Amino acid sequence: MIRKESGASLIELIMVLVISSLLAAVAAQRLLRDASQSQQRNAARTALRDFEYARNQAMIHGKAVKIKIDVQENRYSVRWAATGIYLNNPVAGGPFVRQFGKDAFLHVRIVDTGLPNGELVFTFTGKPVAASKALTAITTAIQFNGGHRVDVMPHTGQLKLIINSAAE
Amino acid sequence: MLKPLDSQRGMTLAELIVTVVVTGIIAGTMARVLSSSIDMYDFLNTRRRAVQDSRFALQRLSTELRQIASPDSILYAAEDSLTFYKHGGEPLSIGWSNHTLRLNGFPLANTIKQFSLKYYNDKQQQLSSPVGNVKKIWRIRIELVVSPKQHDFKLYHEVKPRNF
Repeated sequence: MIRKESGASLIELIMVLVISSLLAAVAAQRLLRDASQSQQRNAARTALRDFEYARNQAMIHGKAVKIKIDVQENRYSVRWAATGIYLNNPVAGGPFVRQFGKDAFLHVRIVDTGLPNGELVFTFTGKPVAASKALTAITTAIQFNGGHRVDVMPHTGQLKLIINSAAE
Repeated sequence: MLKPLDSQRGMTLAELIVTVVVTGIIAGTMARVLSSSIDMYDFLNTRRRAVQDSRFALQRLSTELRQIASPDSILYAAEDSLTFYKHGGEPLSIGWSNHTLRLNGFPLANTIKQFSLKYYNDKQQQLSSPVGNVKKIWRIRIELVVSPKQHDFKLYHEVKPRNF
């Protein structure tokens, strides 16, 4: 009876440690990947919301708004087209500049824009204009790593969030 | 010293089954409560999205209608479509089919269950559609119904084009 009461041996302990650390490593990798994927998805959703806000502000105030997407600097900004003054960020306050690659968007990168110079203007009627000409075809305004993107519909100014389900 | 054998014995099968059943009942109730709140969240989200999209469409149409160059620059005015020249000569057509509202053939909103345009003369009388004499049009009323998850929302807006 006394022999049966003995604890785990060192080898057993090491085996348990090795197996659990292996499992933890796999889980951590998975979690990190999920985290960056959800950041990328979130970034595309945020861009959709911001662009809709910009467009609606143009219509509400009757003044054209310009969105400038800067792929190099990994950010976009929203200004009044006539004066070049930034709109206020409705949530965080301050000038409306959305910077990726840091904080909650650490793993997010803007990879492409289909807009000439990355510039999109919404006129006071909400119509999308690029390089002083009305858009004539569906144009990708912004594309993130992970493949998620926001498209602009010509004439109507409808914005479409396109989630790349293949990346998930 | 050795304890009496009785205190060393494990659980009986019956006890185990009772535990499993009780846990199952608790988990089932919790799942039901949780899934109903997820459904509600989903419903609210879909509704918010649909209402937001249709409000935008309504606003977008109104700002365009305000720019009709003059009463005789309307080419065609029917209940679900309208074609006209804007101030500045740019043509614009509004149309609705298959739940989609379109401007110049491009979708403006995709979840519009019903759409109708009503035309009134300067004596506030409704003109029958399609309007025969477009010069009589004085005021335009836009009505639309969105139906996220079978719940109808009706939105409308009235526009008097600024050049009339």
